[in-house]
Amino acid sequence: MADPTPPSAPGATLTPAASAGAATNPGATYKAPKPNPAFRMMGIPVLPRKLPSRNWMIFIAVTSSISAAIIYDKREKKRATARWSKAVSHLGKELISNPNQMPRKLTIFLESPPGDGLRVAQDHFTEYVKPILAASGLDWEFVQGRKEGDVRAAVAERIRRTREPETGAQTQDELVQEIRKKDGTPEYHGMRGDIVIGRHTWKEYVRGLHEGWLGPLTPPQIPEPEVQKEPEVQKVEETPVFEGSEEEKKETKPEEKPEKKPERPPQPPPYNTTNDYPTSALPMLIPSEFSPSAPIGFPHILGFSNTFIRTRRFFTRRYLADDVGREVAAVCFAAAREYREDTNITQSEQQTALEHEERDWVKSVWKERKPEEGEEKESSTPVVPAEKIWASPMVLDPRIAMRMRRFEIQPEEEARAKEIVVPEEELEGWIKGSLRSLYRWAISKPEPNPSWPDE
Amino acid sequence: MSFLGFGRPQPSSEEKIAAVQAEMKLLTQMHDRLTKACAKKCVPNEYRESELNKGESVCLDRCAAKFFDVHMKVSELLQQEMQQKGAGGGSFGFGG
Repeated sequence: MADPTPPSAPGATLTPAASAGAATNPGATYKAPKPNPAFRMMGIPVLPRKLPSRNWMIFIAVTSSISAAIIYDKREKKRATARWSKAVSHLGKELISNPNQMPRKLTIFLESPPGDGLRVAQDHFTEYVKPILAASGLDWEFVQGRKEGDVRAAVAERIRRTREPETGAQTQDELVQEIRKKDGTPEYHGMRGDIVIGRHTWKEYVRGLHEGWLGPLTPPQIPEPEVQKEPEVQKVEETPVFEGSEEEKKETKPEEKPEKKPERPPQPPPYNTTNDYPTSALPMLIPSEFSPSAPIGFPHILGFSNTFIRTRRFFTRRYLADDVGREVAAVCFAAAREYREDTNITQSEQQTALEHEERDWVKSVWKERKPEEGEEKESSTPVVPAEKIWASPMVLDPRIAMRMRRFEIQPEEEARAKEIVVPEEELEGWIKGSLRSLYRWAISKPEPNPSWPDE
Repeated sequence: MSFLGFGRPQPSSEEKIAAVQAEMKLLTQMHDRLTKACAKKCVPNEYRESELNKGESVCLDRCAAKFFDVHMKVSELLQQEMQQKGAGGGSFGFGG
């Protein structure tokens, strides 16, 4: 404040009156911007004359830039997802021809990433994949795995079921299928599709394909799973006995509960190994091409020391949303091509798909393997060690690999998607949305009131 | 027991009808709720076509499936609760 009047500074030390008089003369021009009387009447104070202190400035700058980055990224992520869902929404708006016609159904493979739970994979799906699928009007079903090998087992089991001659209906899906057949519900005969989320699931998916098509139909002889099955059967028999007398049931309740936890059926063992591929024959009824698949990225990195990487990914999720959206839209458009072969590295595309994600995996995926195997070899128990699909390299059989197809978006579709402009109103959150509606309300013409005189 | 067993079905025609009516009522209510919830979720209020489109039909399918899933789960839990309550009241007040 005193800065603009340096010549009057010595005077200020003398008397306050003199300094005030000296300050008014040069300061008259400086002080000129009087507060707007209208604002003053409304009680709005004058703007502060100086900036806040240095520390406040730093705090405000850091906080606001971080929150701006988060908000911007979030909005752009929404925009990317919304753009791709708009790009596919015309599929969902087609009228249905026959109300009984089954829709196209995709299969989504989800598995808990190494070192984490299934929930993160589900969240990833919900956030990036689901909006687009929901807009596209396709139906989908899940194959979810909680631990390594679950997806492999499920994929292989499904294939084995299609290979097997007509056996009695067993799963609920098959029962539903039979009812549909009886009712004459038309099946969907077009292209289906598999969405595989994450490299770890992708590896298992490929392994499961090989196991299902190249492996035998009968499970390998292992004594171990039978032992596991027996207590289960006993349990089922036991429970109704307990229900008879209530007091007994009550007493056994606490004991029963921990037993119930491992009730999840044991994972079926792999029917073949990767070494069996070349020697096994193809089944007769193998289709010339499998239903196409789409490996979809699932960046997931754990650990405190990776905080910087994680932060960077957190702030650039819009690119991830765009990439995932493109892949999912490709699945919806159902244009597929063969997996390509890398000419120079002699690695096929299946092997290199999402390969960069392996670097993010926790160390235990790679490390645990050796000591465990060593122990089991030493002890030479009949227990077969769980197959390490994640850590082992992907082995492909050319006969299976050439039948796999990959979804790819057509360039014209991509160009069309790029043209789509998502209006801001669809993206904005609550704050901006309510401000906008307030503004709309403020400028809108009032409702004609009949009691007012007509103008 | 057999006398009792014979004795019971005698007024059954009315009781049975009442029971069936109650069940029908329950079913209709559930159907109503399902229709309302799923139509609200899946069918937008702008009726441009007379037919459903693909997205809406799939959405309705999934909605109905979810509805029944949740219904089953809730009723199962309720039954368990009822049983436990009955058992707890009958024997001793231990509601684990």
